[in-house]
Amino acid sequence: MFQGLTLEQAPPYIIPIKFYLTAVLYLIAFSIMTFTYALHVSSRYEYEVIAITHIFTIGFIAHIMFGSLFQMLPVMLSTAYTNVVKNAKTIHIFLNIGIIAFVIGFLLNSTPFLYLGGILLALSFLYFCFLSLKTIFLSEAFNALVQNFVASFVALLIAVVFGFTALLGHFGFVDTIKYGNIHIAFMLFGWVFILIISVSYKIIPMFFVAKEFPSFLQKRLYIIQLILLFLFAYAQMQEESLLLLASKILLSSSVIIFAIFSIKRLKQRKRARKDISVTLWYFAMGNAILTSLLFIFANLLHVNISFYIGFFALFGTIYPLINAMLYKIIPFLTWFHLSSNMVFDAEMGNVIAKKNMTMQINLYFFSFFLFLFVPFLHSFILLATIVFLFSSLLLFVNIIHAKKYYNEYIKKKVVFE
Amino acid sequence: MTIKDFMTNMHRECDHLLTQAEDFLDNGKFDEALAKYIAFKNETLHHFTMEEEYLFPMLEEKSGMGSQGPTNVMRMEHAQAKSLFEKMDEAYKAKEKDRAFSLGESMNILLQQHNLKEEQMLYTMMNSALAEDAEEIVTKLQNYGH
Ligand SMILES: [Fe+2]
Ligand SMILES: [Fe+2]
Repeated sequence: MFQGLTLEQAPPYIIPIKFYLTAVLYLIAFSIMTFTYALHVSSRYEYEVIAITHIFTIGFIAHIMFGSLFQMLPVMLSTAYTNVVKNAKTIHIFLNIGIIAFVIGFLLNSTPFLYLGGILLALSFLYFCFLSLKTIFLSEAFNALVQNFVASFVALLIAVVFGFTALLGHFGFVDTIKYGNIHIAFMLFGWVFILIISVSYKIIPMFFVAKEFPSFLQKRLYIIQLILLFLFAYAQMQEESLLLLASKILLSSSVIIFAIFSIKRLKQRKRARKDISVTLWYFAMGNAILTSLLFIFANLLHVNISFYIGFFALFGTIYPLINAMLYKIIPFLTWFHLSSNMVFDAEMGNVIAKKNMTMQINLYFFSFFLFLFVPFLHSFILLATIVFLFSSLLLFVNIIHAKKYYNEYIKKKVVFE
Repeated sequence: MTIKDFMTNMHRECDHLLTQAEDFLDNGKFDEALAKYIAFKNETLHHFTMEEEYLFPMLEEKSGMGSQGPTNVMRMEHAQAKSLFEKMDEAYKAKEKDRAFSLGESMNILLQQHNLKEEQMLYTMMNSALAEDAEEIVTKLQNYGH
């Protein structure tokens, strides 16, 4: 018992920070590309749209998730990633060449680049899954938290397989839309959703001193979600339209249920002071409910509003959650690594100036608001994207500031001979 | 009651004291805030002492893990918390609201992740390694230092 357990603080500070900084660089690239192509695209299947979406999902979201998991999984499970420095570096390199090749492949419609990108991305995701599952199994626990994590990685594995298969469809081997839809469902309703709920079950009670989530959610929701995803995949492949509709409605209902519970938990939190992360959380959960309702109605009424659904899911729900998490985790990590090196005069409040964080988040809210006008006046998309570009640049500057603060203070480290 | 239950409850009580101090602070009631903060600090330091002087050495001996393993990491984090207490003392006494909140934020996250590791790992180990004397140990903890 307890073999492989460790309380050593893994990994080094630079690992999550490197992933976060790279992630935000892709956010900047995303803004620039949206600005460039926004007026020329009309369908979600166009190659430019697929390229831009993946800059956001893999370039930004996946980098953030990998960086955060390298940091959080060991703390939550008391087990460390093996060889974390080397492995994180390898994954970082593969992931980046992969994304760049993949995006170039779509933009230039180049088969070799698409294959190279697809293979490298699949390898990085599979390797990350393997490493994380190894860390999880080393903990030798099989509590609800561990089960949730395993479920999210299972969804990720399946999503990667279907994503890769969908890519083959671009060369005419399979029906891309079917495989692509299963890929998206397993990514969003599976990997991202289950990961967010797993982390929230722990983080919300901890950070906000709130009540635990009900145990039926913690123990059952991930199973229900996986079963629904398999039904969805089956219905999609067999073209069972009624089952497909039912599975879509139920998948969205899980999201609504979780969102409502998380809002309730936050409302009853004991740390009553409202900081910006609480606002962002409410905003994200409100959008999660809205996205799910839109998705349900679009399917019931057969209207095509994929762009809006994608926008509210990625930009209205996942983005603000990440933004909130970054401003909780980065100042703490910076301070924590300094003080565990016996540098005690650093203070978390000085790692990133509060007014710069607030300004960045306000820019994000402003750009979100501007995007809402795009259906009425298409050129608003340019304005909204420019505002979001500034928000992303400021986010980058803020994280750089944290890193500089760390570099400056770590020099004061006293080395005992 | 097991060792784990007793120590876990104590973690929750400390969390609660800090949130109360911050509530007063938020409402500008600085004297009440200071009093609650001091209560939080004393309770937390008392808890650290129970671990460092009593529980950890006992576990190290019983399990043969020595003093350089997980318990050492926990001691290091206690030292980090103590360095925060020094700053929080200043902030609460000088009525520096923003600074007190941001230090409280560090303290909260530090303790939460610290407690999580103790509850998941060390206390669980104590429950099994020290099972025979559990009742006696809990009684001793209840009266510790009194
Ligand atoms: Fe402790
Ligand atoms: Fe403790």
